[in-house]
Amino acid sequence: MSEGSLGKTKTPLYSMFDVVFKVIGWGCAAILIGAFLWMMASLIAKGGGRLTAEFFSGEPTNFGRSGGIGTVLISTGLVLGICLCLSLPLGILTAAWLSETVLQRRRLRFCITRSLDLLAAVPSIVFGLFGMVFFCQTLQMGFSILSGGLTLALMILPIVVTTVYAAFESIPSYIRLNSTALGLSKTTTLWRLLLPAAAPGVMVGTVLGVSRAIAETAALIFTSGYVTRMPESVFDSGRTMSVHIYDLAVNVSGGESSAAATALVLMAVLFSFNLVAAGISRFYYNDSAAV
Amino acid sequence: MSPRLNDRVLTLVLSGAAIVSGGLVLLVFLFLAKQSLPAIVSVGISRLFFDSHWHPTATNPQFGVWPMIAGSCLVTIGAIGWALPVGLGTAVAIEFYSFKYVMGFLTRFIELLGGVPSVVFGFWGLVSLVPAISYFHPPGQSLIAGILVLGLMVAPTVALTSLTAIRSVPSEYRRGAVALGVGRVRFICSIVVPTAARGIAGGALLAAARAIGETMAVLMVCGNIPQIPKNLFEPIRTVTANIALEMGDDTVFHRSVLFLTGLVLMLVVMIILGIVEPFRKRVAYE
Amino acid sequence: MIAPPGNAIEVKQLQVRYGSRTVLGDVNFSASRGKVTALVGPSGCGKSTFLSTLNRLTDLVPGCHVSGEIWVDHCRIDSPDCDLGQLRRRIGMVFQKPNPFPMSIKKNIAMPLKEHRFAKSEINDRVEDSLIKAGLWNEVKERLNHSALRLSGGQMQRLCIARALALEPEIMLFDEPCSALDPVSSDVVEDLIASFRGQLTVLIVTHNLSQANRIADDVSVFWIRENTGTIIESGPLKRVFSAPQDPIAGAFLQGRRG
Ligand SMILES: Nc1ncnc2c1ncn2[C@@H]1O[C@H](COP(=O)(O)OP(=O)(O)OP(=O)(O)O)[C@@H](O)[C@H]1O
Ligand SMILES: [Mg+2]
Repeated sequence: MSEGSLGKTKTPLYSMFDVVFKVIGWGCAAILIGAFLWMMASLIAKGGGRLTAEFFSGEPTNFGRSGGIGTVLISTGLVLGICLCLSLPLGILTAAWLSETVLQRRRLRFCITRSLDLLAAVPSIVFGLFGMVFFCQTLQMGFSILSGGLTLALMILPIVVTTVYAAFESIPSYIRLNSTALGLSKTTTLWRLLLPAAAPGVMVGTVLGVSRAIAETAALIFTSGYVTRMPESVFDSGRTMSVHIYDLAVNVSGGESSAAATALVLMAVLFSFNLVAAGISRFYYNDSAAV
Repeated sequence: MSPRLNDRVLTLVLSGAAIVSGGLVLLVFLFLAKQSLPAIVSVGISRLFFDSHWHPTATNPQFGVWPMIAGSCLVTIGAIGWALPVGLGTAVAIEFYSFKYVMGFLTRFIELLGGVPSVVFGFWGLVSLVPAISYFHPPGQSLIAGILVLGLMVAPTVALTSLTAIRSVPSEYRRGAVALGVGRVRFICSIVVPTAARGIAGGALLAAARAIGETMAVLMVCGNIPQIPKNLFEPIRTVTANIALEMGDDTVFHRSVLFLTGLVLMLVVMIILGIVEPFRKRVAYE
Repeated sequence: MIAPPGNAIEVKQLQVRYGSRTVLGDVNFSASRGKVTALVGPSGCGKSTFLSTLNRLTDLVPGCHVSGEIWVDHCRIDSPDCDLGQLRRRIGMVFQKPNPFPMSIKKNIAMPLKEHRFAKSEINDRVEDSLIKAGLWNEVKERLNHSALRLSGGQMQRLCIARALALEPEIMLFDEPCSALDPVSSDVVEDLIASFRGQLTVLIVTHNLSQANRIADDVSVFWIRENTGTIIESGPLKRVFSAPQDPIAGAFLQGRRG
């Protein structure tokens, strides 16, 4: 903020402490930066050479030690697709309810926002347990992309709701006022005016939710499973990129290079999502809601 | 449809969606509770604490979960122990000792670091950190590996929340300090940190909640031997890793005990976050 | 389109509370059909609140409680079975800040028309018609599909008026329609409102007494008494300005301190 404005008034003793503080502070930052660079460097050293066009299209062979991640990418896409199919509509409608049915239903509102907060607090392994008994066993979907996607949908729902809700709240009140004064129904106001105005927020929510979902492993191991071949339908088991990394690292000796290459792809996807979300919120809302 | 009918349908759909969303956490809770019932009724909670070992599949099964609880607690405390000062230091460096340009860049960088998937941290720990540790002190997969990886994972959380807390210190204080000729160090120590203490503590708790619920990173680097470690270099197993490792088992009681530990874990995380609540300014839903 | 004589709006014993705070009390008011009525008074005395009770915009405000009788065209609009969509179609409202929707000029007018089930074939004609009435047609006919947010302030305000006019209202409510505009645009909008005399019943809130003088037939003066806003004087403009019955209203209209 005000670099130097305090520095000008420093006395000699303080200035020595100041240097010490500066060194400690930058030392801490250096630890984080250094660890991150080390991580990237080791990923690139181990997996960088594998990143060819065939890697993206080919099927994993020899338990994933060689070949590509084509089918893994497809399974990942399917899991995310299922996840969004449930969480996006449910999240948008819930956010709309929270912001549009004003304050007549205080108690219900309180219960719902609190339970969404609680849902956000559930550890991912617990989602895995729940998904396994509820989707795989009780609803008899088995270890499948469908079960995995639905489990992730529950996990990212709070993120989607919070982001979309914030977008609804940032819509200037004159839009609702004018629309009511013109006698437009609630339905029209929501579909024609509020949703379009909240669209950037919906996009940010989607990107943030997908980022969380694509990074997830623990909730998927026992819901969507490990199978590497091409999924024929969403009722097939299929492994996502993060499950692929885990399996290669832990269960397949000699799978390191494939795991590192997959990790690089995953990080690249996440970084670009992060940039997109930050870009959208900077462009439309003039801040970084993506924190 | 007439507009009136439209609106009524809309209200129904919206409140339906909201109630479903709100009910999900209850559904999760009920299913976990139902699955844990055999453990509570037939195995008995006392055995979880008084059985000396964890041998759930033996003919005479032992369900002592102490070692895992100890493992989870130790690794979490260790991780926060170093992530808190490092995160705070980073926040101070960003806010007070960097140029505007670097500041934005670093914040962005910390955000990115916070978004790295846990499985990637775990993989890096396994292939880079663990061999390095085993060079000094075999076997390498150990409590210390877990502490290092987990701390690195949650340090960005601490840094970002501390940064927010520091930035919410009123700027008049800063001007006042300049006017009084108070040095920057004294300003940071006696004004910024105390004023921002609540926010920083909230960030630390948030990080603790994240750490204790974390699975993949600790699963991959901690060695997963259910024991109470005698030193930092011995392998441990956390509650989360235990669930991930044995979730596939079909024996009723074993499975039920795992669900019970999951349920307790969820409640613990919720309680920690409940404590954080008053520390944070609520932005959401207000 | 000459309106029949009689009172378009009758308000009896109106009281409005926000939570526990009474902001309007004991308000009795009537507006004759086809006339322009100016509502004047100091800031915060409840003029905007009064206007929004007439088309029940107060419904939007949580904790707002309205009691008393409000008759629009011999219908009690404060009864629960009043058709709000119809009511708001028949009562147009324009606010202080010109605020068209973030869509094209044409859509701004067409969307409410569709909502109120005007035939598809009519819509284009009505858009043109209302823009002509609002004196905006010649300025925007080339760019009907451009965003309305790129118009000037005065043009936006006239677009908002056109948007309301397209629904063929019988009553128009204006809440300080000129106070966010530059003097030239302000004159244009003022003339436009004056041209509605005889065709529409117009209620206009204004802080500009000379504007009230120029365009109004009747005037009502709002004032705060015992922390509650009320109407202390109303009647034909000439009479109220020349021989006010209430001394405070007189002082206010003279521009002196009351
Ligand atoms: N939504 C609300 N909640 C609570 N009080 C309100 C609300 N809207 C207005 N008020 C209060 O009601 C009183 C009347 O407000 P109103 O906006 O009607 O005044 P006004 O006469 O239009 O003032 P101005 O000339 O400045 O526009 C004010 O004291 C205001 O503080
Ligand atoms: Mg007003």
